[in-house]
Amino acid sequence: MALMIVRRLGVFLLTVWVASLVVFFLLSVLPGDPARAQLGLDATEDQVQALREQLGVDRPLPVQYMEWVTGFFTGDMGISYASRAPVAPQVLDALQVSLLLVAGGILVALVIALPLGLLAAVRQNKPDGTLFSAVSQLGISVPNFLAGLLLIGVFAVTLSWFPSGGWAPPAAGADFLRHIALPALALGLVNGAILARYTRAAVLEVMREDFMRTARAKGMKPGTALLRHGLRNAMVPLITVTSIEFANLIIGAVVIETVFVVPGLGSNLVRAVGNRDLIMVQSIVMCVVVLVLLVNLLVDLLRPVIDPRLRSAT
Amino acid sequence: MSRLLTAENLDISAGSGRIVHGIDFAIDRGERVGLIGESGSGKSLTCLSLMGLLGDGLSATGSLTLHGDTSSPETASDDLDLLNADENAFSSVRGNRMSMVFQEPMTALNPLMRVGDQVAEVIKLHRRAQSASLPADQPNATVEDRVLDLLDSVRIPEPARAARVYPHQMSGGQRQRVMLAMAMANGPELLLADEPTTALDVTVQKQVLTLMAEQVERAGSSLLFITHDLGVVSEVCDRVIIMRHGRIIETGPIDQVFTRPEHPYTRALLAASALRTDHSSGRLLTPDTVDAAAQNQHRPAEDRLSISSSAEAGSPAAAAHLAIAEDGSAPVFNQAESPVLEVRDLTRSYGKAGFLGRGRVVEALRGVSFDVAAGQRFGIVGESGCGKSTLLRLLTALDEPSSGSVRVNDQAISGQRERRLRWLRQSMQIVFQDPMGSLDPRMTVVDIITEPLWNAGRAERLRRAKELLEQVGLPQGAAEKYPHEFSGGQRQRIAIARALVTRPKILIADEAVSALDVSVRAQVLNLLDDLVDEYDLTMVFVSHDLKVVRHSCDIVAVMNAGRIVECGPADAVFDTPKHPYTAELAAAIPRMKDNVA
Repeated sequence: MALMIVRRLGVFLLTVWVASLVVFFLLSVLPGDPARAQLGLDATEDQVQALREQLGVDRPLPVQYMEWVTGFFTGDMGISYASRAPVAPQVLDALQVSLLLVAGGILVALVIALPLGLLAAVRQNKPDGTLFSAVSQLGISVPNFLAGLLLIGVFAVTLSWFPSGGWAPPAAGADFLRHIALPALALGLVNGAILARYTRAAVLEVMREDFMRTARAKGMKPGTALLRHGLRNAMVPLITVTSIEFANLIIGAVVIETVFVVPGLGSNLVRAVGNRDLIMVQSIVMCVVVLVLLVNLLVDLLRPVIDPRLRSAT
Repeated sequence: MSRLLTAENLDISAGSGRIVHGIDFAIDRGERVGLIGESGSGKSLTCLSLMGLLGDGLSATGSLTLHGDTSSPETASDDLDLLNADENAFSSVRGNRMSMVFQEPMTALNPLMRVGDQVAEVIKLHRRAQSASLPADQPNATVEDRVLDLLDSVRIPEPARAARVYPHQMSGGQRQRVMLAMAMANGPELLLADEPTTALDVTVQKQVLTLMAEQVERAGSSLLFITHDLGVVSEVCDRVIIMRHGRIIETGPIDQVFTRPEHPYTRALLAASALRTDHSSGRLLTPDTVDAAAQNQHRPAEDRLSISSSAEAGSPAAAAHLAIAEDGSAPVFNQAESPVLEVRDLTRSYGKAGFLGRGRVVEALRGVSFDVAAGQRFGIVGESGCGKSTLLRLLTALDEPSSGSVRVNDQAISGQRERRLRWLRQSMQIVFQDPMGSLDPRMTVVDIITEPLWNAGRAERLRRAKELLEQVGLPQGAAEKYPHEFSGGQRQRIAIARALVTRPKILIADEAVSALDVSVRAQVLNLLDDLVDEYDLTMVFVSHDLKVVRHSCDIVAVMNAGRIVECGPADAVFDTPKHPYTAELAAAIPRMKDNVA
């Protein structure tokens, strides 16, 4: 078990390192000079060269990489090319907002997916079960920005229950909840529909297992058998799927943050790309990569806790 | 003796199709009844209908009554109509008055729950209802104590430790004992066992059967034992019911049914189970031939002398009968002048001794040497985990040995690149165990059979496929169909046709008849017998079933723990075993009571 944790951690660190190489060098070889982009076409070559030196982009790439990567993990991500302000505080603020939004999205997705998927499975061949399946099928086919616009149209514009955009920090209490409600809902609805399909499949699969029949043969009622033996077994595949969905949600957040004008990683990323703020883009992308890898690592460590069969296997 | 269960006019149907056709039977208290039938006979569905566990889309009609115990006035009126019982009533009966042991021990337990908790669950579920009737001598026995008692009573070593492990940490036999412990936990009036030992090795099967008989005896329960294996049923039952195509065709005390069967199907089943052969031709009796052959000409396979065609196939008449020495040194078994297959000091280990000795090395094969001469039928028997699958993979160059060599027709096949083994793929073919899984469901039979003939034209392929289909006893029209349109036995015939298309010299049969019903098994074995002669094949026949190997092979090698422990002429090995393991294996084969004369 200890060996497995060490091994997983090793793989995690290795992946982060490779990812940092890819993120840095791929973005560095993109055409476009950050100094020229900022000074405009009218600036002289000397002015551009001076800014290059000031930004440090004239040095060899490996040197820039070492500086960037050590900085990234020590909290000094450098100075934004666009705003000339330190990158780290901006990224950390945006990260906090995005994490809250994604957490809200996951919560919404799970609240929708688990009961819906369970009901669709248990009442498989009955009208309501089929209806649940159809609803989730419909949910999958709605892109999340459209869901966002529809939610704004109904709940912000027509009913005026929620603000149509913007953000308030958690310290703001009720105001925070009012601001996060619609974007989290938009993010969670679609992923909830996808997750509901997986839940239904996982529960159906478990219901066909021999040990469920054994549970019935012991004298358990179908519902009890499902709760006591079925759900935990269905969790095993669902946890893996949820972690994959997490990556989807972070990416989905890029669009949703733009729609709802939420100052998260996504909207910052879009702005940084527009400004050719290379160092900002690198830092945000790296942040997202580390986040996704971290969630995968946690799930890898969590699965053996739930499934004893994975403990002995390496 | 009072009546426990009555089934009258029991019908089970799936939609509009009837599967079980109005059967009547009854079980008395303390009676042990065997329900026998081949696949599709409706025996398992009958059993599930008693438990009210028929799957979706299946429904039962007629009447099924679980009678109250008339010996006590309190319970005399506890009659329960099982077909119309509501979920509450049924739940209190399942696992309590009636319980069940299933076929597949590997999947019947919840993999995420400790074994002890799973046993405790069935006690707790029914405890409240039972609390009044707890044994007076131990009124305060905790559930935990009871679990340990139960595990101990099914002879699981170290019950306290076993209760804390998860199912995957136990062997199949141990898991089946746990299932039995769970089933017996509340002293059921009726134990239903659906092929409980079919998935187990013979020696383990023997232990589990003995244990089951003992537990049922002690608890005074009745037993309904469902099986296709007539030998197994002889070990535990007093009375048998024979089912076929959803109907009961014969029933009676086991001695009577097995010695004086009335129905032709029962006779055929008995003959096929015992691998009985026709005296004049030496061929196995099948449902088609059993009645044609005069009764007095039947002889059990055990008495088979040199009538079998295999003995004339040109193999050396007297192969040496050897066993490994006491000091563990193994000779070269079945040594031949110019063998087709020559195996020397073959070892294979998996895993590696890892960092700081954390790794685990499994020695699947530990020094195996033997020869197979041209035209021989060489049988390999052994229980699961003995290394026979590993050996097969090495013989077919699908895996590399750790050391040692395999030579086919005097050419080394170990360590060769696949490209250089084309001749081997052509001259050596395999028939696998699972007739469902080994044929590509998306390919037509003609494509499956002629896939190796990559440079033949369409017409040529079709001609060859039809020729082979005829040889394996299938209609030519089968060529354009898909595998799912055939029964298990027919698919195995297709698999055999596929193996023969390259005109191989060596045919390897890997548990080729293990998944088939006994009557189909006899037909497929006869077919193999004919084809071995017709194609001048050398056959390596791997099986866990000693009776089948004895019938089909001239030479038998017995494997245990990665070695061949004994090898020699089939009859000699089983009649006068030299190694204790062989003796144990031979003794564990369930035997039918009073073989039919």
